[in-house]
Amino acid sequence: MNRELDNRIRVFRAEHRLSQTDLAELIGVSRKTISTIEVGRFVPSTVIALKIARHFGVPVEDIFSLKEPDA
Amino acid sequence: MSQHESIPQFQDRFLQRTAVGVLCLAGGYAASAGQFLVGEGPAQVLDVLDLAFALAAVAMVLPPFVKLLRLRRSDEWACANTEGFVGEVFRTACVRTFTLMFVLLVLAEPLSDRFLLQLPTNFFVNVILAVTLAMFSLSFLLLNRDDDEDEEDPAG
Repeated sequence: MNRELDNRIRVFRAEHRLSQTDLAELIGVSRKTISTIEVGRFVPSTVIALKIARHFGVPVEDIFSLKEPDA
Repeated sequence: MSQHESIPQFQDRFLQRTAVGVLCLAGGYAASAGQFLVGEGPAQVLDVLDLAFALAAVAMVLPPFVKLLRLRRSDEWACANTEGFVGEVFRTACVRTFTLMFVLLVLAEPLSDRFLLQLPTNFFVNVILAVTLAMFSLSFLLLNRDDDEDEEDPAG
């Protein structure tokens, strides 16, 4: 898991009833790219992050956020 | 390539097949290096093995490469994103391989000069190529392995 970046792609996918393959084809990446972003193995480029946000019609910060440091 | 395979899916598959092909090449170079260490009989076997590895490498990479050349002219290819996970893994494996090759060359230089004088330069070249190509391929396959990120039911 990436220690700094959180994402809510899975939540948005569920809301829009999209599979990883569906989202990957809509964004123009492979399914593996989506799945590894979701589990935090891969930090996407700015372009991919913006494409995902644009697809769901939300600001990129609604999908990607920095994890809060431990208190 | 399946009928519904997207360009990014094809790119991933091409890189995966390239990595396996590179592993075959590594086997070929290892067989070539081995020929300097064994007698004439086993060397002939290794020579055949070398050829078999080379043919396997071509068989792995050539079909998708031909497809790639055709697809590169398409509009869909121009729009495809090349910044995906597998591409990143490929670049990481390349960097690791370059580093390892540099270290091996530095180590091989004194070895070939002082201790292994009876072995020709070709042996060292083959060994270094075999190790670095194997490192590239295994590094790629390890980083690209499937874990727990399988497709899930969107309704679930």
